[in-house]
Amino acid sequence: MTAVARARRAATCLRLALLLAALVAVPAEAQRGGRGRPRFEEPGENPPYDGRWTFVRIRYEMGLAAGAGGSRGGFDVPWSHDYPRGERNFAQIVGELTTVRTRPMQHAVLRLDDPQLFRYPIAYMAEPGYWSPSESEVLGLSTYLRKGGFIIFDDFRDQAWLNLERQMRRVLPELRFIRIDGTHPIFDAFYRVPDPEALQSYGRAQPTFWAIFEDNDPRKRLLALANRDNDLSEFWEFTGQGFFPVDLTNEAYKLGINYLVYALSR
Amino acid sequence: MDALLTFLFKHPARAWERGELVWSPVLPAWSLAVAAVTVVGVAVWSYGRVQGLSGTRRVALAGLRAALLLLLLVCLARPTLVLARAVPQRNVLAIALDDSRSMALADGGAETRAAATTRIFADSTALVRALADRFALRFYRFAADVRPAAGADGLRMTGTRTDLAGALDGVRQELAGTPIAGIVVVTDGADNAGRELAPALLALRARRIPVYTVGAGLERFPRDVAIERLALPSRPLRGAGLLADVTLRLRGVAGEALTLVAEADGRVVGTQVVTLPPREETMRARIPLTPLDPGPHRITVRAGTLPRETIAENNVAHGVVQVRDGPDRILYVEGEPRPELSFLRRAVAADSALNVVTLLRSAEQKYLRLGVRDSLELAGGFPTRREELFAFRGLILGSIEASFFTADQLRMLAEFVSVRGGGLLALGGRAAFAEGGYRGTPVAEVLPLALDRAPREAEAPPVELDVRPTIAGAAQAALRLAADDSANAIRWDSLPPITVVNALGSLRPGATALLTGRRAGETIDQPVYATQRFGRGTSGVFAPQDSWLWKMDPTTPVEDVTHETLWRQIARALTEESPDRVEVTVVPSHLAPGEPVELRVRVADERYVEVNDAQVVATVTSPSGRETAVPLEWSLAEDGVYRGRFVAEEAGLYAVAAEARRGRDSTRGAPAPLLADEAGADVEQAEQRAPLLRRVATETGGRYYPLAEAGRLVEDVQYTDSGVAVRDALDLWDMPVVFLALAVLLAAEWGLRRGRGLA
Repeated sequence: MTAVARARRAATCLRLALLLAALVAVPAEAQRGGRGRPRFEEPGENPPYDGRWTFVRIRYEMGLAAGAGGSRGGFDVPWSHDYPRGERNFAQIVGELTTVRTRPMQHAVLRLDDPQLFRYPIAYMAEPGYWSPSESEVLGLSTYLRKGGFIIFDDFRDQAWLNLERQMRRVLPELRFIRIDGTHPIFDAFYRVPDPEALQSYGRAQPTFWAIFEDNDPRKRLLALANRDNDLSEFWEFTGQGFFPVDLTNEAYKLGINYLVYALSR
Repeated sequence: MDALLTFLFKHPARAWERGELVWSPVLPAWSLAVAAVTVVGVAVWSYGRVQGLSGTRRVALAGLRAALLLLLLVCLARPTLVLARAVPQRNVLAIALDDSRSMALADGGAETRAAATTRIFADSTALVRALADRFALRFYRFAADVRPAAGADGLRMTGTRTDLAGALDGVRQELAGTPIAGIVVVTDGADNAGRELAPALLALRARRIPVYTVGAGLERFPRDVAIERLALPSRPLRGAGLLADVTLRLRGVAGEALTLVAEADGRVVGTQVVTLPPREETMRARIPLTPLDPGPHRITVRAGTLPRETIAENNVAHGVVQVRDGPDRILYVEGEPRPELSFLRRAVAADSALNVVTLLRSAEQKYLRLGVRDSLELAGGFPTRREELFAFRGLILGSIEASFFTADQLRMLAEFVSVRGGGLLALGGRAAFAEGGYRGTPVAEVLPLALDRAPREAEAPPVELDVRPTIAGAAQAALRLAADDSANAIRWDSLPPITVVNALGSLRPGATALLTGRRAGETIDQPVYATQRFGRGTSGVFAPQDSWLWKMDPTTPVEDVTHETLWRQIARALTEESPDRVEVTVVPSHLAPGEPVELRVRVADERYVEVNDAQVVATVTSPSGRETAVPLEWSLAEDGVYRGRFVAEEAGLYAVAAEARRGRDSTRGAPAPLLADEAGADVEQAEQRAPLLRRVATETGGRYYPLAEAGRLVEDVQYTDSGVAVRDALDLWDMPVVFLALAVLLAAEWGLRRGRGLA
């Protein structure tokens, strides 16, 4: 084979590879935006505090490597994944199934260094793999959790875990994530979910559940819970749209409701 | 002056008080009346004929003449004083001498009150000899009880109580069937037995026995600090921060600094320096004490002795505290998962003396049970039987609507307070109070805030309030955030605002507001935490929906434990007064060795209905460990109450437990403490209580004397209706005052006549 032929063949392979990459990338993007997901919607004004439970999503900066934290060309940004339909659907289900006093169609988006966060003792963060908190956010979350707040990390997989662990070491240096299973009371706070790891969001990736406890003692207060390799809010967001089997969606709601009832009673 | 009056009126004032004035005219009454008219007519007529007199002078002269003649006619009417008088040596005169510790005080100089009493009432004194000439004297000495005595020389002054009513009853009963001329009581009046005096006085009045009270000691000290009262929580829970509530009586010490030291079993557990107020004569001080171990403790509070105090013996007070081990079980019923629930549970979780059992309705007919004893407890939801509910000592009612309960369960909630004697605390929330439909329910009747305002709209925004303690609240151990009063106030002032979503009604009569809330920029306070006694128990309202903000607010430091401290203390206060089924009380809880004590045990069944057919035995464990079983008898006067008597011969701390048997059922009551020692009591009110002694004398027909004037007794006690007495008729026409009046009238008339040249 001549050098020219080898060069043509290499170029053809590259073009095939790029085409393949494009073919692979399109369904992946389609998975993100193709289920009727709206383009990034800038949150409106938060509702005033009134004592009732309100879904609070944490908004964060991603740092230079991951973008500016706002709209990425009009598409959603990691902190806002499944926003706002995820919280709206979840709050509606919570209001219908439990006695938790909810606010219909009301939810809030807050930064970790926002003083208003302290009025909502349960917070939710999506895609913590992109999370790169400033010092004031680190201090804000640390104070929030030590005083009695509880945060749920959701919608992340693979290497994102490493970033979450790294950032949480900044927030709570003396505490570490401990893996929990279906025997933990949080999986029996409202629904009995003996095998929470059975709910898979990311194909074959095996979900696991990791928690941070006061004094690293699993008998003590739960400060944070990470749905590693899992994405509960994805199920919440597309409720009723037929993208996921009903049974799986139900399991996602069961877990979310358990988290909520547990945090509001322990 | 008394002697002059006695000379002029022929008889002492006491005789005039006791005697009855009658008339025994030497001529028929009609003839005296005619004579009176005649003499007045003659007087007027005789001066009417005289020339050269002015009208005024004529009236004056006629009046003087008429008065003179009328006075003579009064003498002819023969006024007589009929007087009952004790027959010499036929009556007993009881002399009861106070033998309590307060008589050992030397407030009148170097001589103690007891020494002064002995000086006047000893066998050889003139007073006693004079009394002995007329009466058979019986001496008694009294403190907590009354005992015969040989005389005034045997006073020991060790009694830690002065039971005046008991002394009067005791003497009356001892001398029943004996003619009693009267009872002389020599005391400082420091009655501290807590017994009602009226029945004793009524019994004496019925037998017409006069009581002559002789007061010892100064009625008012020139310069003194006294611990008048020491109040301690009756049965606090292990680990509780206690407040020793001290009432000081102040005399002439305004503006000075005073150090108060509290000791538990000889170990210092609290100190406080107070500045004595410039005008008030009493003040209250609260000394925070460090938590004590379970069991009985002797608490001593000492006030520093100021220079030149009249007496120093009353600068110390003693009390006892029985610290319970717990854990106290509280049922918290919540209708909705919410942060107030989780933060409250976290706050009390570290308190091993409390067990907050939670019944959370997480959905319709679905409950989350936390802290239950076993898998069966509360398995069916809220208790439907009183036995099950009344097993808890406290009850917290969260945001859960009234319709969740059946009508009988609502009655049970009310009876939990009124019958069981438990503590109920209703929390604010969107399904609480009027908003939860409680108006008109039995629960509404129990709460200290009336549900008299229309409920707020479901979507109404919350009202933000700055919450501060009231004066009563600042005095509560439950709301104490710092040892010092001013530090406590500063701590409260620093707390962030919290919110209320309920329409709060007015405070019921008898309820106490402990915390009030105020909107920013407003000046009106509304109660947000209030309590009241209701039946046997206590009810409370804690209206804020989010006291957890005191923990979470960004201005609150991470290490701040105000929220936890408050809820632990409030939860402890909730159960502190809740009685057990077998409740032991010792009256009094502090006395001198050898004095009797009443053991009182209230017995109830599982529904807290008093039972009168139980076999109740109290077990008294002495300081040396010796156990004495005291069988108790049902007191006919009160359902479920069994009484017995015990004499604490040994000095030290006793524990009094009780067991009630009924069929196969046997229930033990938590022990109550009893302190027997020579120290402490009876000098709290060391000033002579003359008003009390005057009341005793007045109500029985006797008389009050200061000790220095006790000699007047001799003359006075002989006039009595009681005992063996004769009635003397004493002529009054020959009283010197009558002759004096005649002479004055004559002299006045003569003087006037002479002035006009008529004499």
